[in-house]
Amino acid sequence: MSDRRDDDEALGWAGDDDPTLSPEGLPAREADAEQPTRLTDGLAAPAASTASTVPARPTVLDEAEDAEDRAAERELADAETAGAQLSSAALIGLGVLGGIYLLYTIGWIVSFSRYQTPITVDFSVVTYRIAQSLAVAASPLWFVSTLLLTQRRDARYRFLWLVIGVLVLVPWPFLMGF
Amino acid sequence: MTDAAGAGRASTLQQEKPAKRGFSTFGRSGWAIAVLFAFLYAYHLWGGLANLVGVVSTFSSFGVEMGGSVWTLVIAYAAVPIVVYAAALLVGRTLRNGERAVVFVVGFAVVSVISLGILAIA
Repeated sequence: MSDRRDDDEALGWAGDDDPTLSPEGLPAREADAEQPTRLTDGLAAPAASTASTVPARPTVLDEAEDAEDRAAERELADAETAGAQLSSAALIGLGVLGGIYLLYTIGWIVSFSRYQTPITVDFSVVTYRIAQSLAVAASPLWFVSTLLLTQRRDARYRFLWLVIGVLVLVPWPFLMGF
Repeated sequence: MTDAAGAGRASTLQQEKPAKRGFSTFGRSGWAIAVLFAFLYAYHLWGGLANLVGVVSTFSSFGVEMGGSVWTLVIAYAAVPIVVYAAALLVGRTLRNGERAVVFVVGFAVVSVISLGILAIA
């Protein structure tokens, strides 16, 4: 398994996101070359007195470039979150939770099979069996749909909902001996 | 780089927030799904109410006063479908229609889980 930090380093230079730098070398040099002419420009006269000490004020073009950069960075961040691999801790956590859900399912199945059909089968027996069948299905359903629905979201939500499921789906009938 | 990416992620989270409020995202089909599952959940509710009536009549036929814990359990048993349905509706706010249906299906099974849990404890 490759180190995530190394991957990030391979994709960028240190100080890449320094706001005083343009994303590419060439536009930055052009901007430097433009500066003297901008200082002597009559339109920039009010700023000219301070411009010698302060770096050039952001022009509309710079702002547009910055906005583009931010949009690109946001897209990159979204793509990273979408395609991020699970860390090994998250993977182990998922495995443990999956094991708990499996045990819960087995507990519900045992509770289902312990049931002894009474001699007179009426409608309440049928509804009870339906409820038991649904209870057997509940744990795997919760697990799978949590993974499905939190796919595009932060891993925290996935674990939050899985932990809620562990609290809700406890097979009480099995634990109480029914 | 990573800082900027983190900031970008935070800003997207900020942007998504307002869309998550309220039930305005449901639309016609979303509410249709909600109503459909309301009928399904009514099956559980009907079972809970039948249990409530049955227990009350059984106690009265034996002339025994119902204790507070019995009332609590019987009412909780009847209320479980309503509570779970409301929870599923709330969870579905942030989701798409298909995902809402999945949540309702899971909730339908969870009603049975909680009901059987109450029966086991009672």
